[in-house]
Parts: sequence; structure tokens; C-alpha cells
Amino acid sequence: LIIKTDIVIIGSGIVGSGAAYHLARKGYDVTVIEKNTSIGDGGSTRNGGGVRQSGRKNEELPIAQYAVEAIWPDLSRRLGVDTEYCKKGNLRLGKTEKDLEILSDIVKRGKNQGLGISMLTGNQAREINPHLSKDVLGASWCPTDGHANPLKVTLGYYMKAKSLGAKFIRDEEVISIGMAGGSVKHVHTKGNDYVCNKVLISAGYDSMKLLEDYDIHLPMTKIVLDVLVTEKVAPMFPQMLGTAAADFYGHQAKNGSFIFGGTAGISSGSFKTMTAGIDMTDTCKGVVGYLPEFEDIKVVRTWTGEIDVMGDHMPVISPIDRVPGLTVACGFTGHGFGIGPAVADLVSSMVVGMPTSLDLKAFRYDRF
Amino acid sequence: MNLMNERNKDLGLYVPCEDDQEVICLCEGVTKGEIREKVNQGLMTMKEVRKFLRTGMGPCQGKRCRPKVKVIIEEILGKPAADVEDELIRPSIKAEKMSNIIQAKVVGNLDH
Repeated sequence: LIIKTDIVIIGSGIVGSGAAYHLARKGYDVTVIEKNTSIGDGGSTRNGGGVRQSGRKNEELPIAQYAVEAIWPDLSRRLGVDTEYCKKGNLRLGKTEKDLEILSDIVKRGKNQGLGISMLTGNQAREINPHLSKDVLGASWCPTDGHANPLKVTLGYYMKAKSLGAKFIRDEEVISIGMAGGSVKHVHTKGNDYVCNKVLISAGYDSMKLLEDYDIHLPMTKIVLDVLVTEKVAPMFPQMLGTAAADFYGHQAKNGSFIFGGTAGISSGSFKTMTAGIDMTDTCKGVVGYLPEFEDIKVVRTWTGEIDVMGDHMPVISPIDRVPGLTVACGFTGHGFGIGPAVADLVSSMVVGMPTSLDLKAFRYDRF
Repeated sequence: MNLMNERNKDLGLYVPCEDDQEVICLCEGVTKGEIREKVNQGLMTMKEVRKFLRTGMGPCQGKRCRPKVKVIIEEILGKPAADVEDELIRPSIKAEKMSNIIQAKVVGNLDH
């Protein structure tokens, strides 16, 4: 079939569904094509829910600050869903001198760019979070960081976009993108030819192969990470936690469950490429090493998700010069959720050739 | 157009029903009415309903509610049972203390 539409978005994650929301709101005829049966079933609904500015690369920090200042505070109202956004700070914990060096560097880099972040002693960290182990020697503290519920945000964008007229096609995989008259014109799936004027690729790792037809080779890999959820317990602390050693991260969700992610650190020294199995022993060790009370808290379930890792650990958010009308946003490297709403907003302008409110030159596809 | 894309059709505004207050997911306290409303707004797979409303995310992991949720989706979409895909059946692991997981002594019959 030949299907006409203004804009095709490939991938229905937080960026694709979010951009569909912004573009539908501006009156564009938008069609989102998703290869899976369910919307947003990749990292966008499998991540740990961090909304963090601290610890970002210098180039990425302005997007995170824009997200926290301009987008997150109003998102629940805009989408008509409770995103469970909680802006109560991020403590990144250290237990060794080497950890403290890593944390000092994070604090210094943040401060240089005007982020409100400071270095705390172990005791100062325990004043903020009394559940922390005596082994915690220090922490970075960014009070404007926080967390939110990825399931509500991603599916919230989808439902709102749909209510504004965006179409969502499921179970269809895009095979190629075609040009006509010097600009992007076709998106081909197995059964259909979508004739359009603009295309956004926001398909995570799978974005890469769609660009290869145009001799663009993004340096991406993918790895699998694990997340666990605990039984519901009484409210303990509202902060997002992370560690310099990257041996766990997590927070308590609004329903009382804790969400902890990781697998790295204790056994392997770095993130593994395969799931450690349903028990996530390494992450449990990580958690209990900083939060001893968790020994007695029960793990109910674990799940995994893939992250799309870019060579320099920064996303590509860029128009593609040789294919006018084509834009790509991918490679968020496991830290895309917190900036996702800002990227959706920015990229929705980029797709239709409008100036973006932040300079995104650092995220061009041809920087490699 | 394949099956899922027929689901793009506008289902119209949700009309409240008499039995909306019936609790479908006991673990998470999700009612029939809440599920119906969200299916009308676009949550059209078992997975989407589970992720947004938490049906099947509690202690029983969906053992009670899964078939009921499926029927509710089918009723609204007008599909026969086979057309709404089966939800992934999660491993029936028992909630387990972190200390037990760390010690790798999870052998069942523990006192909880």
C-alpha cells in the first residue's frame, strides 16, 4: 500500500513517541512505525528511571539542565498522567579513596558548568540519607536531580500523541528509507510505502543499519543490563542513588518498591554483556554494601533491557546532510531517559527544520 | 493492514459501565473500569496494560488477573481470544531476601 503522511517517525520509544506528541500538537500529520507489537518496549520502559544532571558529559549537561528546568516539572500536567517525577536529589556514593577522586571530578566538572552540586563527607551524606552504611566515605550531592516512572512517561507520551491524532503502526519493520527530488520521500516496510516529507529515526541500536544505505556508519554497540524490583516497603528515602564504582543505582518508586539496576562492580569490574541471571547477585551485593538494611528486603522480580552504546558515550541528535529531511536521534548509551523529554522537544523542531532552543552541534553524526 | 494496525481505529470516548468497580488485579488494586478506560486511550496489548496500570506486577505476577485482562482487551477491540497476543508468563520465582540471594542459598522452604 502507498500511505501518505507528513512525517514518519521510526521507533516508538520515549524520543519517538515524545516527538510524535510535539509534532501532532503543532498540527503535523505524524505516523510512528514500530517493529514490535507493544509501544516503547525497549530501553524506554526498561530503564531505572533516573532524571540526573550530575555526572553527565560536558556536552550533554545543558540538555539535562533544560530537561530538569523546562520540561520535567510540567510533564505530568501536559500528558495527563502522573509521571511520578520526584526532584529530591541524587547522591553518588563512594567507599574508597579512588571513588572519592571520581566523585570530586564529577563535582568539579558540574560546578564549572554552573550546576548546583557539592561534595559531601560520609557523615553529611548520612544526614541526608540515614540508611547509608558507615562504609560510605563521601558522596556527590546534586539536590535538583531526581527520578520518575519510565512506564508512565513513555506510554503517557504515546497515549497523548495518539489523542492528538498521531498514528502508530505496530508490527512493521522499516527496511529502507528512500529519496526523491533531492530529499527524503519514502519509508519502506515489508508491505507498505510511506510517502512523506520528513523522517525521524529514533530506533535505538537499529537506527544504525537504516543509515548504512547512505554510507553512514555510526560506531554503536549494544549491551544488556539488568534491573530488579523489591517488595513494597514503607517510604525510606526519596533520593536517587548511584555509586562511583557503578556497582548499583536506584530509588524507591512511588508505590513503595525499590528499583535497582546494575550488575557491574564486584564480580566483573565493568558492565557485563550478558544478564547475570534472574537473581542479580552482584547488584544485591552492591546495594547491601551501601544500604545494610536491604539484607532483609525481598526481591520480587528482575528484568533486562538493551542499551545502545555510542562510541564516545554520547547520543547522535542530528540532521543528515546528504538526505535532506532526515533526522536521527539514537545512541543514548544507557542515560537517555532523564534527557528523553528534552530530546523529544528539541528533535521535534529539528525534524521540521526549525531552530532548536539549544545548540546541538556536539551531537552530529559526522563527528566520528 | 495487519491486525495490530487495525487497532489504530478510533475507539471513541470511554463510556462507563456498571461493573467498572470490579477489582481485576487484586495485588495492585486495578479495576475493570481503569483497564477499559486505558484500552480506549490506546493501551492495546497485555504488556502495555501491565506496564501502565501494573496488572500482574504484584506478588502473584499475574496468575489471577492475566486471563481476565485479556478478555477485557478483547471485548473492547472486538477480537476473538486468539487475536490478543499472550503476555509473557514470568518465571514463578518467589520473593527472596537480598541476603539469601547473595549467599546463593535459595533452596526453598525458607521461613517466609
